[in-house]
Amino acid sequence: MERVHQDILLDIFLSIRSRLSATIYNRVRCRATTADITQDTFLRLWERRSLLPAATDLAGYFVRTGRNLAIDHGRRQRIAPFVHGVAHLEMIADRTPSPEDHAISRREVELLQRAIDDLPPRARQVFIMARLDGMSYVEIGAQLKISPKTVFSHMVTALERIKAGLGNI
Amino acid sequence: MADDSQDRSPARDRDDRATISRQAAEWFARSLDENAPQKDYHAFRQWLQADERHAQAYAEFDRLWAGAATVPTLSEKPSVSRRMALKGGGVLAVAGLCAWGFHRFQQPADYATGTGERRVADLPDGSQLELSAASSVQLRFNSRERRIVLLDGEIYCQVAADRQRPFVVEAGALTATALGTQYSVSRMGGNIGVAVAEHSVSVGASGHVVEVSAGEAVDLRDGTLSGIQKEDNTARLSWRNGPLVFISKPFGEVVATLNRWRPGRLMIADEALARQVVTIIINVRSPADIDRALVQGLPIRVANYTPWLTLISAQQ
Repeated sequence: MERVHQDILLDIFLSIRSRLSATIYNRVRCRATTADITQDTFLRLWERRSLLPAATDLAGYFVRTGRNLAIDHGRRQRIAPFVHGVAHLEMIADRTPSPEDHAISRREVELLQRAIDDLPPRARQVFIMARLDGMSYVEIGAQLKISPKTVFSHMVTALERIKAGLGNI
Repeated sequence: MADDSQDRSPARDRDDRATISRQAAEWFARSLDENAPQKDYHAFRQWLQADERHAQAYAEFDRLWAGAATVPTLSEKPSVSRRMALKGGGVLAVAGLCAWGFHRFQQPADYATGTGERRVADLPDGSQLELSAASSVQLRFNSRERRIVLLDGEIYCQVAADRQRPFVVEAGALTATALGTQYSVSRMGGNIGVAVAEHSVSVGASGHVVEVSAGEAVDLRDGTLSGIQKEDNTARLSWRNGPLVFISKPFGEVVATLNRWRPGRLMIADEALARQVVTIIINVRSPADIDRALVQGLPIRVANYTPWLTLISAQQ
């Protein structure tokens, strides 16, 4: 059963690779970075392949993940000058993710799932829309009919509660 | 600002931690907003620099967020309200989380090599350090000792004599103190090892100390020091001078090592192949040489999925 999955994952990656690259390039506007992030997208899904149920829409999965990683990259670039030289934050300037970043355990997925499930409804919506759909506070506010400021405070709540829910990993 | 470090009670520390955590959450949430004004960023930097704990707390949220990057697995029983909350009515999923493990750039390095790069460094005391590929070290020399912290990879030390100051390599939970002159220390993934070429080295880990002599080696895996291995150290030290030599090593380990010498990434398609024990010599002069050596030496197929991703599978 797993073997079938691997081949499907690879096939789909190959078939959407140019769409994935284009999505990423649109945001980062740099060929080398696009290549890095495209690879990172594949590796993350590859490492999680045994956690993917058969019904997953893999193509959409790849593209959304790639988009979110590209958004992340943009955010890090934006704040990099302001964290320059600050101890403990070197990884923000570091463009290439290391292999250790990809490993994941079932337990960690469960903990995170539960932490998100347990969020108050609005905080959960805001977190999901920002993190998974890559929406800005303004866009989320427009969608949920609340002010960006309120979106912000829901995000703070979500972050703190998820962190508390993960405990001391 | 009053110095109240004298009157720290546990309750006060807890409050501080909670305050810092909330501040970090707010700053992180602010950093997600691409429309934030410039002055916010300056205030952010000031907050970061005010206390080391601020940066640590912020880093935790950064890792949490990074971990949630992949679109989730489908949860089994999505609740109705969650389904309605989603734009387009798609089924909600849960984010995956990356490991919180050691991040290669957590600490700055004094000497470091990139993929496929070897380097020789002359140390202030006259000793010489050779770095293998993708390796990084910190120097902590003071009047009492000459300490090298091996962050990642492998180094070979040629130690200059200094009666006043022992020469110590620290790699994770292991320390290797020179009792003579030439040895290597490696730290790759979870495996830490010491191989001695000349004289002897005192190796300590978790309270145990063992003396390792020329031609011998010892490893630390999962917190336990192995017995002294009297195998030929030539294979272990082959990286210094030429082709890499692997004798009866699991193929997964071979590939993990090769990834330090070869840009892009080699991946093994199945677990059984990764566990297989192999013996092979690989010229690491170029990625093409590496791939060719693998295909010629082993019953495998190699397929390039992108210029940066090569998949290895068993020959059918």
